Amino acid sequence: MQDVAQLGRLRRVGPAAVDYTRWVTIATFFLAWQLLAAYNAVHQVFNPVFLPSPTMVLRAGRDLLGTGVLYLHILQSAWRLLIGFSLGTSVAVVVGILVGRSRRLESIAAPLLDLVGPIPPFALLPIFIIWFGVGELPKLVFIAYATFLPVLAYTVDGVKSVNPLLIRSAYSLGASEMQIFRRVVLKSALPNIFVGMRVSLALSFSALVVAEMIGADAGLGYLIIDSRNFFRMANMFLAASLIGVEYTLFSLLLGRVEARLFRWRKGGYAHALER
Amino acid sequence: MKLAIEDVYKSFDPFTASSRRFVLRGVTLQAAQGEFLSLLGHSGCGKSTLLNLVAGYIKPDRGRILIDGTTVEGPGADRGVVFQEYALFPWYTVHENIAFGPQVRGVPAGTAQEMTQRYIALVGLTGFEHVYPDALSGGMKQRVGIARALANEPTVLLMDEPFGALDALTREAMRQELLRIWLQVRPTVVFVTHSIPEAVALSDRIAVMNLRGTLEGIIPVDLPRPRDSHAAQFLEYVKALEQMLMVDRKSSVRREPAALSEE
Ligand SMILES: Nc1ncnc2c1ncn2[C@@H]1O[C@H](COP(=O)(O)OP(=O)(O)OP(=O)(O)O)[C@@H](O)[C@H]1O
Ligand SMILES: [Mg+2]
Repeated sequence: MQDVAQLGRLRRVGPAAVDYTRWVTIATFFLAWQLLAAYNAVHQVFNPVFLPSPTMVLRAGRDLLGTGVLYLHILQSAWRLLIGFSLGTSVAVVVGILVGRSRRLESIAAPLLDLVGPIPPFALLPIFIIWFGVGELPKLVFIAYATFLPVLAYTVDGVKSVNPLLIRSAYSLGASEMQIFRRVVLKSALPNIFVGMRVSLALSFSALVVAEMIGADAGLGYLIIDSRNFFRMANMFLAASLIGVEYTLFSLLLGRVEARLFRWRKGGYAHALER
Repeated sequence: MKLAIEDVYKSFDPFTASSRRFVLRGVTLQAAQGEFLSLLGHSGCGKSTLLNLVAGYIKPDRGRILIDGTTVEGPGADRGVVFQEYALFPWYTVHENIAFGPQVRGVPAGTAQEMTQRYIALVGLTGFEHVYPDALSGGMKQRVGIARALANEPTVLLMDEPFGALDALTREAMRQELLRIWLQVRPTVVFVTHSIPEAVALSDRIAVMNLRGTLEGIIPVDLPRPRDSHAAQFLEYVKALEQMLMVDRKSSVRREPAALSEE
């Protein structure tokens, strides 16, 4: 009986209830911000310029949209991230599969990764700029590099943990090396690769912002620096929020692709109990 | 002979070791076209090792294994394998799992589709084509495993305790299913088990292996199918096999310390 009661209680904390709290929290956050800014504008607890209200940020957005430059910044950043992230991911997956398949290559790669891995990618940006000039290339290479290491690590791990029984059964079904690679090794490592991509996505965005802050003439990171130079606080808040929005969109997109690819994959904590 | 195992030795110890423990020492065994051959023996006697040698996953130290007169060099589609752990591809549906063999061997799409449907029907999984293995019961998973191996129309079907992970009731049902399928398709089967009644119920011949790595003997089962597991004759086979295995256990227990000190 007690078990049934417990299940009933679990059932009530369904997705619908969670969503409700979520919106209340978000609305409260903006409301509190708005009130704080309004209060401060009157009583001057600190310099009101430091904290523009949400409506001021929205107004700044509308003004920038009006001049047409905001689109340019948004698209520039999205495009850079897409190219850099895809480049880093593709190279990491290819290298990761090669390394994961060969013990020799792994013993060569592992110490190299131990050597380079602990250096935060951001420490290398000035070097990248000297190597690749000040144009678009160092930024893309830098974002790709930030993406590369986590995806590589997760890919190697995924390839190494393929169930050997599946490889045996594929061989006995007549599959060639190439078919085993595509239909078994890659398929089996793919969930792992996506975990790596998720981890990397956050890093790529950081890399994007840093790269745009140093020597760019467009992009949301540039917008932040440019606004700072003219002390336009509302624009800085706007650009930061838009970076958050872009990250959310990319993350959702990744989630969509995952849900598509891994329909076969049921498991983990969420599937342990029927709710 | 479809399958010929000739004087096979196998040790897992490195060649450089001063003394190597041989899991198999001089096993010779044949299977004729369409024969149902079982390998029976205690845990650790080398049944899986022998089957893996035939499958081509591992290589014999001495001797050779021939399929239709050709020496086995590695795994191949001429030997279908059914695993105790099913080893289905979790990212493929039932249909895609069974179609795997025909597809990778380059069978034209239409024919592959037709073959797949035929084997799905044969193992009684019609209606489950688009389900992923995760959503199947153990018995159904092994039906997929059997259909997947058979869809390649292999010369020899190798089964390593295929029903070992199933409960007693399902196991009995699957035994009868396998018999029905075997009678219908008539592949040559090498079937590993440590269940004596299972071996008697299914086999044309039973190769009894001992813990010394040799064959204790080969018992032909001359009973018409389907076999009644309560019939007197059936029980006689069971008793005879029990005795063979008992002798082995006793002798091996006496032998074990000596074998250890030898290494
Ligand atoms: N890869 C391996 N490396 C080292 N030793 C092995 C390996 N595979 C099997 N052996 C040894 O070979 C012997 C026979 O093992 P095998 O798996 O063939 O037994 P089995 O008859 O299939 O037993 P079971 O009925 O428990 O499955 C065992 O002593 C085992 O420890
Ligand atoms: Mg075994």
